[in-house]
Amino acid sequence: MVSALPLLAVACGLALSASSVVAAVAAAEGNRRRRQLARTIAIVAAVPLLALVTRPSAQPLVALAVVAALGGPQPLALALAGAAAVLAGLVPMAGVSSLALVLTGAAAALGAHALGRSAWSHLAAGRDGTWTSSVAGAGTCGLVLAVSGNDILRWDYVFASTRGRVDAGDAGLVLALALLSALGGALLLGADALAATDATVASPLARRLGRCALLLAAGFALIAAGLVLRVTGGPDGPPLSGARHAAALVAAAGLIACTVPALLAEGACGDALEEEQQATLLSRLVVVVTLLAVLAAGVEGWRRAGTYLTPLTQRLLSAALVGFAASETTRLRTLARALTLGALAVALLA
Amino acid sequence: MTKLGAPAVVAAMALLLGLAASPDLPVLGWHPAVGGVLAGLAALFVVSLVDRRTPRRLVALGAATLALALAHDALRGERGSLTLSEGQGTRTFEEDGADGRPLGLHPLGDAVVLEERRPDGTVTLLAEDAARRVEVSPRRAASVAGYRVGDPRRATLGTRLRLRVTGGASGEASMREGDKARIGDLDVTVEQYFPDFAVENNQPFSRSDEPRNPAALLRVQRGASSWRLFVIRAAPGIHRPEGLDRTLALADIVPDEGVTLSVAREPAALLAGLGVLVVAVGVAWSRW
Repeated sequence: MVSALPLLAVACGLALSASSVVAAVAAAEGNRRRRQLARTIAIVAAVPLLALVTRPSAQPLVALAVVAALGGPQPLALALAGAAAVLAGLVPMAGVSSLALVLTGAAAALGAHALGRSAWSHLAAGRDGTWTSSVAGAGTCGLVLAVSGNDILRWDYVFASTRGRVDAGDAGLVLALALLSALGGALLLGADALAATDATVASPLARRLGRCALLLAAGFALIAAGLVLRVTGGPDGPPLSGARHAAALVAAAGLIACTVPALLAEGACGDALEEEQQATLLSRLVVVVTLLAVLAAGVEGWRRAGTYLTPLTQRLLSAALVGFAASETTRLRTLARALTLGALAVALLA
Repeated sequence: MTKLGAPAVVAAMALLLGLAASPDLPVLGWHPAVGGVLAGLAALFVVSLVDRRTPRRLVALGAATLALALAHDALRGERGSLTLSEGQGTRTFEEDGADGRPLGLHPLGDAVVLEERRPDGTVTLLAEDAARRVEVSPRRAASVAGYRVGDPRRATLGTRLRLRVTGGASGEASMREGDKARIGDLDVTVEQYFPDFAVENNQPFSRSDEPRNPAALLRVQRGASSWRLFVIRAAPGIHRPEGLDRTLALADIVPDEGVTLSVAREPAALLAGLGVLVVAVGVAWSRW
């Protein structure tokens, strides 16, 4: 039962990623039945993750996945929930329970919902989804580079752990292909968006090629995640860094998969104003939950380390302030919400 | 005032303060003036939050409380670390500034002795003239000598030499450089330790800090007689001074392990917590 849990968590993670794609397609089509289907898949995939709550290090990630799934069929939140579920299944069992980190996970899920709704309000307002997909491609490039480091320049993936150094040429090759595809897609779509003036689409060919390249990158990232898991996994499962690499690649694939359907649609469905109002409400909720996490981190730090000003408290305070900025500003709201999510992710994973 | 309270200005200040609060961007260490600039920015941020709405005032009140508490603990709080080996005591700790720079030794409220170190990381400290035993574990800090002491972690303090005396009243002792101990019927002092022993122009020296050829210069006393001799791990008993009828050997070297503990005194901790809670209530109460 214990050894089956990681496998179950990975399966749930993939199901959550699939629900993200269904949610993205449903949102692009305005199909309520598909939205309901995505919601059902997400909740069914999140329930088994509750079996992982006995593992202290998995608790914040389970909180993220469950809150993201319960929050509704939001493609970005579900894509991140998928990666969190994979990571929850693979992180080492040892650790210390922390209410602050559980609240951080919940705040990150709400932050992902806010960011997703904010981005969707742009699309629902009639703006083209090319920029969103281009940014997702750039994000994938960043994640692939974070996983592979400089070794990708030699088409190689090198994993160093306490068990020794492992060279995996096959994983390196697929990672490099994922990077090239994502880069190509991001550049093609970015160039198309920049070139567009009156017409929405400047070059249908560039758009089609960019979309294909991004979809290829998503596929390569998923394959690379499997190869990375094979390379880094030992008898006791992968070490933390290996698990993070695999989860980052699942997140990269999910990121692309939840933005491309908007490109395929003629025009995004939904009410821009309602989406933005929901995003504003969620942004406030993110600040409140993050402040509660700051309080919990302070108390935990004082009890465990003798000081309330631990690095976790400081990171959460930083995230709360950035989140407050995101809930205040009327300009660059989406960017501020992305920064908030990034700050929460740093607090969660550091 | 109106311009200061504009959403874009409030957001920009919150963003800057958020970046400054992150431990991953150590902005306080960039320049001594940064702390003052941030304090001014925090004051402006609090002022910008004040308006006629009650939730907003609550956020401003909480932010002001939190900023004051953080400023008080940065200026008047004390934090640092102390490193002890088993049986060692101290009345001071190494103090660190708010920007992480070491400030030197700071007195504790009382003497603290490390009595025991357990494999699970828990340590037992003796405080208040050895009248009170306090346990500090990686999951639980404790109040000792007027400070919160916690986060015990292993520390290597140097090297311990295991010296062995044979050929009569034999014995063994584990000693650091400068230590004096009685082994058998001899009083032995470790005068100097050479991790990578070598001799050049009749002068002993260490070629490196790596323990490739450990050796030590000892002073040995028995009654009124006194000798100085070298012990080399690779050549046990090679040096036998005239009149000394015992064999001294450097049996082994082991890392001298101790414990480093975090020490902190933050009088405004409760106020900071209260500030965070009030801000949270204010934001939650705001118009949704």
